[in-house]
Amino acid sequence: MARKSVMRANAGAGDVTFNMTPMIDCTFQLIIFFILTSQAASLELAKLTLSKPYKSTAVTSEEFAIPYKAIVNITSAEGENGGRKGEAMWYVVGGKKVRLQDLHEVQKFIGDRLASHLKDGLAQKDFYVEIRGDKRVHFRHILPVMEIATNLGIGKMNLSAQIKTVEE
Amino acid sequence: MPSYTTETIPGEDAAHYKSNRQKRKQGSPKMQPPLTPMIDVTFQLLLFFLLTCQFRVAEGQIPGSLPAKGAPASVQQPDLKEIRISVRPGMDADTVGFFIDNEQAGTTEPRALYEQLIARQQRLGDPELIREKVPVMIEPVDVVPWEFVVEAFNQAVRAKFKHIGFASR
Repeated sequence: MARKSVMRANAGAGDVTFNMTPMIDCTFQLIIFFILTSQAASLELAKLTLSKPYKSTAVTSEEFAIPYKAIVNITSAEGENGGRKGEAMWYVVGGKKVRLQDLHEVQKFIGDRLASHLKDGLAQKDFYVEIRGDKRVHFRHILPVMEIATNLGIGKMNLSAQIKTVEE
Repeated sequence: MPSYTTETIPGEDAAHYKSNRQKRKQGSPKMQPPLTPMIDVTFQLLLFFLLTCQFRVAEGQIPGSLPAKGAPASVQQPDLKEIRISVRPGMDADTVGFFIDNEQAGTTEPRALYEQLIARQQRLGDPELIREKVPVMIEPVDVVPWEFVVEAFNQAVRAKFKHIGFASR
């Protein structure tokens, strides 16, 4: 009798395992998704809120034929350290923050980019300035950048905006 | 040659005989590589991607041009006057008015601005020629948010004008 009960107890104490395969499958699916959809963040693109115009005519950089550019970001001070509505915070050029009063640094950045472009034997008409302004910033903070580009003899200027959505 | 082998179990002196039939039934031993390190690394990767990913809005560029230094915005036909779009702050802080050639009847709607530009093309003559030759000058007031300036620019591009410039008021 005692022998029988011991045997029964041994029979019930098997190894408890759980099937890991579906979990590993899901994990790999997620990793593949993230690897495929992730884009390396560019230092040149500051974090800001872009305009979303009605029926936007904006085209992606890949569609745009001219690859040579100088990007000037204008970030908003709204909600940052008591910044007022419409005020700009920084000009961000080449990943570097420039104070609003230091416009000569923006000029130097665009000038250097243009000079290096010309040094490579490329034509000035194949160079443009991309203005990435926060939609909340007042026009008076953007205008000086346009004037700098004009003074440097740059003929092309692109404005960054959100691309037309499907529901439009 | 015996048709069985012996197997000793630790802690027992007696030899247990195992026939060939028993061995065949048991099958070959399973290979089980250690999965734990791989799962660890996989989770590390997953966690990294989950914590670092940021979804961005689809961004693009609206192509435009700048006037040449010391030159007019574009080559203008003597009989074709430029179209000026004024962008002025509205009654409400979050609205603006778009006024073509300072006409009294402005609009706050981008769609209406586009329609007015198209109507202007048709009124001035051959729309194809007008788009090609007539420059559009956007004149925003200094305190207008950039969003509305881009809006005016976008509608002018939509209306297929070829020469669009900016001027300050």
